[in-house]
Amino acid sequence: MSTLLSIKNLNVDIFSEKSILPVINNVNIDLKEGEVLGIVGESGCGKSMLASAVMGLLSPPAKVTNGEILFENEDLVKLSQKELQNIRGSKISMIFQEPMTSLNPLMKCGRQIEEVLFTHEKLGRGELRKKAIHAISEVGIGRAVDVYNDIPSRLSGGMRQRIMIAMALICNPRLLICDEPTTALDVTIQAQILKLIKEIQNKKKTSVIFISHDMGVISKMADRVAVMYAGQIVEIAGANEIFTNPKHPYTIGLLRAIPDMNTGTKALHDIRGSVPMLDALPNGCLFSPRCDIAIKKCFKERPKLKGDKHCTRCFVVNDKESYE
Amino acid sequence: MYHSDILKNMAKNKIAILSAMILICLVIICIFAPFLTPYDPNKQALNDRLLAPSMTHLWGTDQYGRDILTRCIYGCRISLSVGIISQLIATFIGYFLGVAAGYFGEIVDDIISFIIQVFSSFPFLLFAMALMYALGAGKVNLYLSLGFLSWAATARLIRSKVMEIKNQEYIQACKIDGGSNLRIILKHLLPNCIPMLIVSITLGIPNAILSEASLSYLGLGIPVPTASWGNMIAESQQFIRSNTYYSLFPGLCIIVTVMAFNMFGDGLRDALDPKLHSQKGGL
Amino acid sequence: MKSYIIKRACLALGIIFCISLITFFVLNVIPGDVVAAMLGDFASKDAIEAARAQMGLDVSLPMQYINWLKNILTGNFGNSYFQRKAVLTLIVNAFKYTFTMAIAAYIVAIILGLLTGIFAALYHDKLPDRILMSISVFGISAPSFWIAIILQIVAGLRLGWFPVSGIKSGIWWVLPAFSLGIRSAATIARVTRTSMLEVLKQDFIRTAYAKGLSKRRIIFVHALRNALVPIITILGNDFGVLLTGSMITENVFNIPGIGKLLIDAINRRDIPLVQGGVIYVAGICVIIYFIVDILYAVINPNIRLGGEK
Repeated sequence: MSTLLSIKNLNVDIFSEKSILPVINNVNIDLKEGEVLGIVGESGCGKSMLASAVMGLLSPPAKVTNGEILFENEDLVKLSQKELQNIRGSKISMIFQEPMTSLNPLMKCGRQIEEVLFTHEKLGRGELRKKAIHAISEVGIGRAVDVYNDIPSRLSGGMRQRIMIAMALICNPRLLICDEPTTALDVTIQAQILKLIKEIQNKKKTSVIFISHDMGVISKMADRVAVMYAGQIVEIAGANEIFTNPKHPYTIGLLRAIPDMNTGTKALHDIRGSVPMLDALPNGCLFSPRCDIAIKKCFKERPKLKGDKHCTRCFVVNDKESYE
Repeated sequence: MYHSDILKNMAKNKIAILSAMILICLVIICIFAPFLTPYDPNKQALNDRLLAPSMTHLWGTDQYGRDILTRCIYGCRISLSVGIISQLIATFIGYFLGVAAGYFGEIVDDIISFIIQVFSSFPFLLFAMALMYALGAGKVNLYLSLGFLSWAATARLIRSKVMEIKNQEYIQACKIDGGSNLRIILKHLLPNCIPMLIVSITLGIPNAILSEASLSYLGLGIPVPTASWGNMIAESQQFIRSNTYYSLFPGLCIIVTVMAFNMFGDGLRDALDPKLHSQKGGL
Repeated sequence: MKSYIIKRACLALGIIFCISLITFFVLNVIPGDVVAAMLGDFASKDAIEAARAQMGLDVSLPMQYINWLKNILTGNFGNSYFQRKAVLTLIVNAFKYTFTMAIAAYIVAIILGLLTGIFAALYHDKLPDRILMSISVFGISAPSFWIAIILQIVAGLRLGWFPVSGIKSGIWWVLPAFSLGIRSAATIARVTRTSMLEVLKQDFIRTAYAKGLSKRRIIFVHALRNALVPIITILGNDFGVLLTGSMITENVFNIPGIGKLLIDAINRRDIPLVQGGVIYVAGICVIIYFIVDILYAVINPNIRLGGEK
């Protein structure tokens, strides 16, 4: 399968009055057609920024300072706002974390869905309505015509997220970005929404970038997983590989932090410390202050992402592998 | 919030500091008015009628030869006193009605809320005109009628604030200990409302000053020959073809004063309670 | 929606009733004998008594109020003491001018205010925003009758662009409309700006961008409509302010509106005319507030639904 999206050496900086903060630091990602890529990491590690960068929605003071985002062999970074508008909503769509506030409170749900179609495919009134109602029923809402005429405040969070999904998929985009789509929902609703996204993805062969801080959710969704830490990718590999054979200490920490019902252990594991502030990044490996296996070198130099299919950014792991 | 915090917040707001300085200057000018000018505001000098601004009469003279700057200075006394006293009256009424509505609730609240509705939905200036007509022009009547007509906004704010805090534990505890209602209202609710009251007085004053000017302009506020910015503008009107400055200066006095109060009030509101900002809109 | 309208209508009626009560009693406790003043110093006691009876002033005050209210409800506002004409005719004639002036000022205020506010919000914290907001603070602080005089001097006398005083045709309304509208425009601009900034920060605006909508559509369809919700209330209140403001400003321009009528009536102690004028204008303001409330519920369905529960 061919590559749909290819992010190369991407840097995003936030320009504040005093300093320049690197929110995304030299990120490389390839996404194949029909593939689901999970991006995982704690809050503040740049996951959402990455999504915004792909959508071309970075607003000042954040800015892409280096690198390319190739989508269908076109560099999104170089496109004008006008050209990006044509791509957003039609070829690349996005679902957000907060379904409660992500819909316009004064506009009927149906109109909000139609709006996307109208913007990208200039259809007639009747056609728009038909397609919108079809899209609503496609995301598993029974009373599609009623919901078409409802304003968002009459719908539950799960329903609103379904509307968001219908809206995102109505133009059959090639890439769908899901930014923590289920974090704000109840666990039961969460499972339904995940199932829905998975089903639609299977049916339409859409490529998906699925962002979450929850390893459990990622494990259900992703074909391949990238672990992000402080604006860098620290490990990237196939989903099976990551969950059975995690290498980077941060990934291992994240996996251990999932409360496990099967093993019956009562201890909750956490990773000590917290994500470093962007204006006070450590000199060496960004994870070194929190790392249990760090060696001297880790505090002095920054490791590179190494590996073939399973890449890791860690001196200890990479050195061990090169000995073997 | 501690007082030092409030001061610190205020100190950061340059515009508020500037307005505070203007206000202090205005107060000083009002207090020392007789020492600041060699002229008498009401003494006619028919030889010096309608002079343009010059070194002897910085802002010129009016149709009776009175010094316009002097009259503006004495007009400031009127404007500030009307603004401050009428708003104190309004705040007094507003606080007690607002507390009564919020604290006692039920039927008392229904009645007071209705009265608030009535007072906030009739046109303010029209009733100020009617009241001033009934009471007769004059300073004291201005205090009373402007105060009587402008308490509704304060009462509404206080009402919702009291509803919010009356169920907190320490007030409930005071009730259980047998504290009288009056004691609770004065000892516990009042301190909580003070920041709001200060803000609503500060932001009420500019409106009162503008209303006073309008009423005086119509001849229903401060009667001539006493100088007030409003009646000076009214008198200047027949001379717009010959003496532009006559109309200009009293108006500028109003603008500077009102602007200073508005911006100081905004700064105070932000410093005391940033949340209040969104409640009252961006004005 | 229906029950909401009925509820609001009852409230409006209650308010009008209270206003009539306040108006009547405020204006009837005036010291001094009005009739004696009207007939002059040389009228005999009998003549005064006869005049009182003729005007219905010989019964108790509450009775006078009830009679007055009855008459008003049937459209009879009484006769002016001095002009010897029906109060209602005088008021309606004068009100045409006042209303036209308020509408003209309203149009100026809304267009100027909304555009300024939106523009300032789009250039938030940049130079255009700062300049516009400084001007608006100035506009809020200046009394409209003074702006009127300054406009007369500058645009009327110095530049000679517009006629200075009186009303003969459309162009004569320009200065009155601007001098009255500027203050409201400044208020509207400030509220619009705050409201727009608030809305532009919200998540659904980000969604709208993600949908690939044009910036123009996002600002005017998604942001503005949500931002309008708080603005509408300001707009409603503003019309009342403009109506009364017009009563003052029309004195500057010598326009024969309600303001001039009332001031003349007040100076002559013409009580029926003052009473009628006050209750008429107040009633219209209450009706306007009522309409605004209903409109508010129409554009913001969330309120209506909340109200019905």
